[in-house]
Amino acid sequence: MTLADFFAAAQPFLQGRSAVDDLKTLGHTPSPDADLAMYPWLVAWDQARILAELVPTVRTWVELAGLDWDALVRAYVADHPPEGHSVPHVGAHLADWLAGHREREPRLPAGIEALADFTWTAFLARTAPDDGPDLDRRVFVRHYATDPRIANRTLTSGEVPGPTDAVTLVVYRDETTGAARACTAGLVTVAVLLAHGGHALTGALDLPSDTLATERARLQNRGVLPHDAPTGAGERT
Amino acid sequence: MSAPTGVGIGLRPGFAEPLLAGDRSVDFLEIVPENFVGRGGLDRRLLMRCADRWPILAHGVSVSLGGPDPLDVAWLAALKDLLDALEVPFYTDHLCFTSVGGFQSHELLPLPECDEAVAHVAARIREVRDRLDRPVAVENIAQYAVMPGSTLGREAFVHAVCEAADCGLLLDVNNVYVNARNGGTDPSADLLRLPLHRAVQLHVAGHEIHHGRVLDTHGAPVSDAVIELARLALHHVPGRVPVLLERDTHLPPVGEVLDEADDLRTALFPARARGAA
Repeated sequence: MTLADFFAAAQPFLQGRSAVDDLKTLGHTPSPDADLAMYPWLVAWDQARILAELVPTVRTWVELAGLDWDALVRAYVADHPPEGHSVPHVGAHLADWLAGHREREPRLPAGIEALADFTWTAFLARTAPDDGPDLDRRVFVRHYATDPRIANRTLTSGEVPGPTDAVTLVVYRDETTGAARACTAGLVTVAVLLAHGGHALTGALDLPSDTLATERARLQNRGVLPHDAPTGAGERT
Repeated sequence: MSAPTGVGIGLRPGFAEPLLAGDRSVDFLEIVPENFVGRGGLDRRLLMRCADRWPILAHGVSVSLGGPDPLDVAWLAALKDLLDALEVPFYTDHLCFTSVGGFQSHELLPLPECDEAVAHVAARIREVRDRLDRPVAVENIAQYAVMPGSTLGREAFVHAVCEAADCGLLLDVNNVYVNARNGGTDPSADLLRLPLHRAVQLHVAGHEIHHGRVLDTHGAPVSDAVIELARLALHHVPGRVPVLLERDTHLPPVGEVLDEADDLRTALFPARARGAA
């Protein structure tokens, strides 16, 4: 047995795609089957734990819908095997996957993909690198068919909330506190963010300067934009 | 960048703010760099403030020193930047593999204990050392099975790798105990077969028993047996090495972890603890 043989057999074994007996064909081991089987079990257990810590309310919704969290995680990880060094990035594709998975599992609660995306986006905003253009890294505009902020109601009601109207949110890191926050966004919000990012507002997005100034002040008060933010390059003054 | 001594704790989520706000004594803090590399925000700011007050050690979990995939050199470069910023004197990771074929398991997986694996992992440890521009030490892992193709034995494998890589040993005392209990061997004898002369740091942690198997959970107070084993280790390691109290699951408030660290300091370094009182 070469080391390459071992790794070739180890990958499907660890991902639960082959059995202990397949691994044992490589050579002798004094370990009983149950000890070897610990490893794929540990990998799967850890993936379920990591995602439960990353998106705890998504897990609560899954279980309130009568679905098995561990089984759902197994199906997700089979489609999106974890990569890279960052543990939370195990959940990077969860929202899109949940949206696609609904065709196979109609019991998934309405809005669960929005909740997963909102939670993931808040993590990205909270941990975004400090260098580089701030809006590119710590401010995200998201449109949701159901407002994910209703997730908090689960904590008091113990039920999955029903669907709401669609909402567009700015998910961002408040640099004063370091916390991830969200506020509603509209066309003017997007215009102000674009202008702050140095994008020229052309005739296609020709908004009155006082409207832009009012929205910029709101975003400054919310901590989306710094208080010393200059008027955007594309704004009329 | 000299290495700290004494007893430290892991900088776990939620620990930094109460640590910075208080006046409790701790000899050093250890971070998992994967929680900070490439990230900013409040956690990063708090880490830098902690680094102003306490020495920082870094203990990685994902370099996959024994793995088959090419080392992630871009990530190692970002890791080096972090270690430089924190003035970390040496870097530690695990003698294992964590990823294979691009699949990141986020588990510490044992290698076949064979000569080919010794050469393979030693070469990668040397490359990591060169890329990080600082000494590297490897941790003996908790191991629940012996992989096929193993010929050397657990402690001999650790010994051979450390010699071939000319690297340090992060001696995890709890892992020695867990492996011995599960394998029915004598923990003291197993400990003394490790390359203790290369030890640069000790890890001490609690374990839990599930279905008759001892698991390295870092989720319970350190047992008396592990403290005894740590005392034995300290008689055989060179000089005064830092000792980390690991706590990762069932995480109590930082004050309780500091209490346990104080108890551990008294147990392992009674003269120093008396001097500090």
